[in-house]
Amino acid sequence: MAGEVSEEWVRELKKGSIQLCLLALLRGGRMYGFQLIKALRERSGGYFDLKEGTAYPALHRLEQRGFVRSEWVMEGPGNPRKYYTLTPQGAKALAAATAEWESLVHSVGDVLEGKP
Amino acid sequence: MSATDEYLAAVRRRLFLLDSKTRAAIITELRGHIAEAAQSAAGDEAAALAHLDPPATLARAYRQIYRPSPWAIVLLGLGAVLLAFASLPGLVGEVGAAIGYAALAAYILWGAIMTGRRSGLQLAGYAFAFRLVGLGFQFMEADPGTEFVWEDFGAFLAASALLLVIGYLPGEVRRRREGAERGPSL
Repeated sequence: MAGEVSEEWVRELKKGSIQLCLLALLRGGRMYGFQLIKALRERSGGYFDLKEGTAYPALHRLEQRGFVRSEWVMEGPGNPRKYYTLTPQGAKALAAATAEWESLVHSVGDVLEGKP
Repeated sequence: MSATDEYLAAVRRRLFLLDSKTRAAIITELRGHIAEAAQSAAGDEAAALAHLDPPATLARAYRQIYRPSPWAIVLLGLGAVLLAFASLPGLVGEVGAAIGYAALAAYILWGAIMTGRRSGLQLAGYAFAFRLVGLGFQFMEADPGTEFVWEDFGAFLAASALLLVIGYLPGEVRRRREGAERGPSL
């Protein structure tokens, strides 16, 4: 793909979907930052390789919006981990954003396939 | 001091305006991330750190989310008030006032860039108000025969109002630019 379309366009596409992906990962249960970044990389086949400068602020922003909540858990001496959990409000936002995303994919797909 | 400690200290320094609890939580979370990243890179701390954003980039991303602590605002406001008095011609003379005003404008500009448009406007508001208060006191203390020159007052008012623009505009520009960089929020 590189070289055919601008990096900026690809970056914009990714940016718009990071929060949706993070919420979707948290649907399966609480996770901490490193775990989320790793899971996102693995489940997207390496497409999303977030830097912590993107991932952690995105998580903190979701927390401020009330879509996730966090708690510190001590896992071994001197090893606190901040776990993020999807809130009911976040689950609603995820459902709405997923519906919007599917509608977008469906519509763009129709156009790309040249459906009349 | 390890490379991780140095990196985290650089981030912490750039978050000095945030309240200490928020800052500590951010640093603890990042420390855990680096430790785990190093562990998954066979204990290679340098490899883990190489994947990180520069401290300035990371700190900027957090500063977009968290407002400065109330104490930081009070201290910054105090600086603006002192410089506001240092920009009054009646107190420090014409040349001193020009230097004081330039310092005040630069201070508010720095504050607006560091803290965002709301806090920047707050600082400028303090400066605006205290310049007017200071001018009022000067006028009350002036000799009875001192003539009030409307043109001078207009220029003083315009210069003071310019501080409000300086306090607001850079933060707003930064908000829009960084909002575009960050991408849309859900």
